[in-house]
Amino acid sequence: MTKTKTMRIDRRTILRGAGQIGLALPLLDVMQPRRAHAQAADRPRKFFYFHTAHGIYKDVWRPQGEKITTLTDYLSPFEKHKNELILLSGMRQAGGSSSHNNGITCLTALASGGGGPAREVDGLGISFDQILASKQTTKMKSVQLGSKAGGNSAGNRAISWAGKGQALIPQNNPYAFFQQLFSGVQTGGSAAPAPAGPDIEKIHARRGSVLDAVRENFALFERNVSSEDKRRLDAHLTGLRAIERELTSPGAAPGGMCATPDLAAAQQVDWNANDNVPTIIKVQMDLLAAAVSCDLTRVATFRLVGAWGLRDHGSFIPGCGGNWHHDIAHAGGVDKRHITISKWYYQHIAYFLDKLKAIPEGDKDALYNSVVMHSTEYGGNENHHGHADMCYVLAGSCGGKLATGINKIYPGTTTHAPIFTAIAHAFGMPQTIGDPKFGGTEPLPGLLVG
Amino acid sequence: MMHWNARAKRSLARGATALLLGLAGCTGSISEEPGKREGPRPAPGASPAEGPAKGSPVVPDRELPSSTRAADGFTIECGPNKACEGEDSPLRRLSNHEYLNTVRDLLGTQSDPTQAFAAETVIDGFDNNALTQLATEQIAQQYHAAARTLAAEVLPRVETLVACDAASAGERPCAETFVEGFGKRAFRRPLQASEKDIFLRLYDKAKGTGTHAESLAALVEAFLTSPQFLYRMELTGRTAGQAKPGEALPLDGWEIASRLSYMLWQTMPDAELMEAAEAGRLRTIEQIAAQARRLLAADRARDAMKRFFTSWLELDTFRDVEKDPMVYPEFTAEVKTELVAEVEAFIDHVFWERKGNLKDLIAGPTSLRNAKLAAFYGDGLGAGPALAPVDLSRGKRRGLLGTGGMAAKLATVHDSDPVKRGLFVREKLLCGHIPDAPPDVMDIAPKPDPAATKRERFEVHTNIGGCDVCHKLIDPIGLGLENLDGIGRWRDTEKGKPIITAGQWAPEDGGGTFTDSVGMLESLAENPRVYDCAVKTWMRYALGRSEIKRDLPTMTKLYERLRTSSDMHELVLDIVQSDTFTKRVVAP
Repeated sequence: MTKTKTMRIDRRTILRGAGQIGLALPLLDVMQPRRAHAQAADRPRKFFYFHTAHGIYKDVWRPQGEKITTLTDYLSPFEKHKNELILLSGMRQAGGSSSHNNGITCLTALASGGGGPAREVDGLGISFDQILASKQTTKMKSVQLGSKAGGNSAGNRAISWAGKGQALIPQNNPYAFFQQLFSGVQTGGSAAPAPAGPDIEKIHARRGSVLDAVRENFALFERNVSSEDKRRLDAHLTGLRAIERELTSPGAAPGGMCATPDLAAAQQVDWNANDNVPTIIKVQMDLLAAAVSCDLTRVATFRLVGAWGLRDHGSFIPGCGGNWHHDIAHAGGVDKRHITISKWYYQHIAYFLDKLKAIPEGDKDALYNSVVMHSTEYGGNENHHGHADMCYVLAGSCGGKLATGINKIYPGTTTHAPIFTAIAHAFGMPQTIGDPKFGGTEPLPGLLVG
Repeated sequence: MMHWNARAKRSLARGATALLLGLAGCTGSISEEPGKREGPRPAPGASPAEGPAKGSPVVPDRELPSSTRAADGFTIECGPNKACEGEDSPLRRLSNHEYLNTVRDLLGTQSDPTQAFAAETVIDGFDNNALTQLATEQIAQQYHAAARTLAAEVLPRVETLVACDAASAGERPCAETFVEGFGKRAFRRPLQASEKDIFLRLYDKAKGTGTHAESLAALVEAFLTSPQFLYRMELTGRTAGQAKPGEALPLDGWEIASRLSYMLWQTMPDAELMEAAEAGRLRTIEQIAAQARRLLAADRARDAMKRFFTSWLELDTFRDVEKDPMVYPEFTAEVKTELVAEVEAFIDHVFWERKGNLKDLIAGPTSLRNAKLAAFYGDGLGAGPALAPVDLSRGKRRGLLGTGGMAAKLATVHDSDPVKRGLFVREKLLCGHIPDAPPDVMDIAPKPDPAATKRERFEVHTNIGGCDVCHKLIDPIGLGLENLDGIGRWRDTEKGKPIITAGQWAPEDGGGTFTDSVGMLESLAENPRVYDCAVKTWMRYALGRSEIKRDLPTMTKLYERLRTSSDMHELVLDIVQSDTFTKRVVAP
C-alpha cells in the first residue's frame, strides 16, 4: 500500500503556477507549497557535465602559469568566470583507445570495448554522474540532456550509463524535458479547472492505487522468467519506485528563487531543425537552471554536440559553414574554424555559469556549490583520434571544496579518473571511481582544498 | 565476373575461419610511432582479453567473435553482445514505434506520446532487440507519464472502449466486462484469474473516491503501465512441470498472433488474428502461413516492411545528408528529396513488385526515375513527374548502390568515400564486423591531396602493416564504386585521371576479380554470405533478438531455400513456419 503525503494547495499557489506557465498543463507538481528548507550553510553539491566533440588544440588553449591570470583567446568565453575556473590538462583519458566511441565513455573511466555491435551499445558500467545521482533525493536524481547537435541517430548518443549496457539517452526535446521536470500531476483535458485541495489528494491516492496494481502485475512474473528477464523486470520496477518518490516529494524550492520557466519557449521550438540548435541549447540551459533553482535535480549531463551530430554550423557560426564538424576537426593542423566552434560551445557553457551564479544560495550562489565540467572525446593534439593530452575545463568550487582559479598540467601517465574521485570527495562520497587500474582510487593531487 | 557456383561452398566453409583470422590481425595496434606495428593478438578462442599490455600505449580490448558453423557453411558468430547461449524467447519490450502503433490500435488515439520517449539503443540496425531493452528509471517514468496522459485523454469516452451499458447491466458488471475485454486486447491474450482480480480490486478502490468512468480510466492507466502490455511475454512452458528443460513446446495461438503481428505490422494483433487465436486456428503451420499471407498482403505491412529495410540498410540518415555547396552546387534540397524518393521507391519496387528478390536489390538493372532525376543524372532515363521503373541495363548503374541517393549518403560532404561504401557492403550486406581503427590512426590516414585520386590516396591503407588486414575487406569494394561521385553522378575520371575500378575480392568472399561496379555488384549478388546475412537480418528482426546456436538448424534451412529462390517474400513465409518462430525451448 502506498502512503502519499498530504499536500495542501491554496488558491494563490495555483494562480502563481498558472501565471508563470501561461499554458495549459492543468496541475503541476511545482504548484505544491514550497517546502521549508534548511538554512544550513552546507548546501547540496551539484555536478553538471557538458560534452562536445573533436578535441582541443592544447597548445593554443593552455594559458600561462599555474594560477589563472590571463586566459587565452580559446578560453576567452570564460573571462567573467576565470576566478572560478579550474583548467586541468596533460593527463590521458582513462579507457580511451582510438575511436570517438571510446572517448564518449569518459564519465565511466572504464576500459572501453572494441568495435562490432558493441559500438552501438557501449557503456561498460555505471558512469560517474550516476554514482553521484544514486545518492540524491531530488525529484529527478539526474537528467540527461542533448540537442539536435548530438545527432539523431539512435546509436552513439549516450554519455551517461546507469550500468553496463544501460545507456541513458539524452533528451533532445526541450518540451519533453519541461514535462519531465515540471509536470507531475495531470488531470483531464486542458479545459478542466485545476483541482483544489481535496482533488489533489484524490489524484495522488488514485495514482498510488494504480502503481500498487502495476506492482502486483510485476510480481506475477517474478518466478517463472529467466534470470535475465527477471533482471529486466527488476530494473523496470526500480524505475517505478522513482515515481513513488515523485509522489511523496514533488520538489522543493529553496531560496524563493524557484521560477518555472516559460513553457511556450520550450514548446514552440522545432527541436529537430538544425538551424534551431542555438535556441534548443539555450532553452535546455534555461530549463536546467530553473530545475536547479527549484532543487528538482542536482546532477545533469548535457551532450551539446556529438561527433556524428551537427554537420554544418554555418547557419549560426559565421565562417564555419560548408563542412561537417568532423571533417573540419580532421582536416589536419590547427583549423581556426574548429577553435571558433569550440568557443561557441564554451559561450553556452559560460551562459549556464552565469545562470548558476544568479541563483543565490545563502551568502553564496549555486555556482559556488556546484562543479561544472566540460570535456570532449579526444585529446589535445592536432588530428585527434587519440586520448593523450586531454584538456578539461571545470568551474565552481563544489561548496568550497575544490581549488579554483588554477591551471594545472599533469603528466601523461596520469588519467582523468582522479578528477572524478576528487569531485566525489567534495560530494562527501569518497570512493574509487572507474577501473582502479586508472588511478581513480585517490583524488587528483592539487584539486581538493586543504 | 568470377565463377561462383563450383567453389562457393568450399570457399565459404573456409570463409568463416579466414575472416576471423583476418579480424584477429586487425587488432594489432598502431603504436605511437607511425608505421610500427605490434605483434598480432592471440587467435580467437584463446583466453578472453586481459586488458592493455603493460608498457604499451592503450591497446583496445577487442573480444573477437567465435564461430559456430553448420556443415554447409552457414555461420553464427558469438561474441560481445551476441548471446549465443541465450534464451530463445526473452521478454521483448515494445519499441517506440510498436508502442505508438499499439496504443493507436488499442485506444483509437491520434496523439503521439512517443515523441517524448528516449530513443532506443539500436543493435545490428534494429530497435527491437531484447538485449538492449533494459528499462531505466527514465524509461519506466516515460511509460507511466504516457499512460497517465492517454488515460486522461480517453476519460470522456472510456465507456465506449468496451461495449457495456452501465445503466442497464450495472457499473460493477460493466467493470468486469471491461477488464476482460480491454484486458484481452491490451495484454494480447485473455487475462488469468489472478490478473482479473488485481484490476477489479483497483477498480473498486478507485470507485471509492471517483466515478465509474474515472475508475475505468484508472484501469487503462494501470493496463498501459503493466509489464504484460509493455513487454511481449511468452508464457508457454513457464509453468513448472509443463515441459522438460530443453524441450521445444509449440507457442499458443495468442503468442503466435503477436509474433506475426509485430513482425509484419509492428502493432498488436487485429481482430481477425485475435479471433483465430481464440478459436484455436493458429495451431498448424498452414494456418500460420495463411495468416502471414493475409498480413503481408495488407496495406499495413507496407509501413512495417519499409521500416524493416530502413533499419537494415540505415536509410533513416538521409535527412542528415548535407553537401558542401561550393563543391556540389547541384545538390539542392529538391535534388536531395528526389534522390531519397528514388531509393525508397527502389526498395518498395524490389520488395513489392519483385517479391523481395535479393539479386535485384543488389544488382538489379531497374530503378525508379522521373524527369527531374533524368535531368540530374543526365542520362535521359526517366520522364514525367511520377517515379516509374526505367531499364538501366544499357548503362552501368545497378541495384541499391547504383542509386545516387546511396552514393551521396555514403560519401563525405565534399567527396566520395570508398571506406563508407565498402563498410556498408561489408557490414550491412555481408554481416561482417570490422573493429574500430586503432589509436592515433589519423596520423597516417589518407591526407587531403588536391592532385591525387581516391585510389592513390587510399593506397596508404594497404601499404601500411596493420591497416591492410581490415581495409582489404573494405577498400576494394568502395573503390569499385568510384565512378559515382559524392552526390551520385557518373564520372569516368577523377582529378583528370581515369578512374580504375578493377579490384579483387578478399579470400573470405571467395576470391576472384572484377573490373567495374557492374561486375562487382553482380558477383556480390552471388556471394553466399549475402544470403547468410539476409537470413540473419530477417531473423533478428522477426525474433527481436540476436541469433543463438539453437537457431542453426532453422537458419540453415532458410539459407538453403533463399540461395535457391532469392525471394524474400518466401523467406518471410518460411520464417513464420519454422520451428524457431513457432516453438519455444524451455530453458534448461
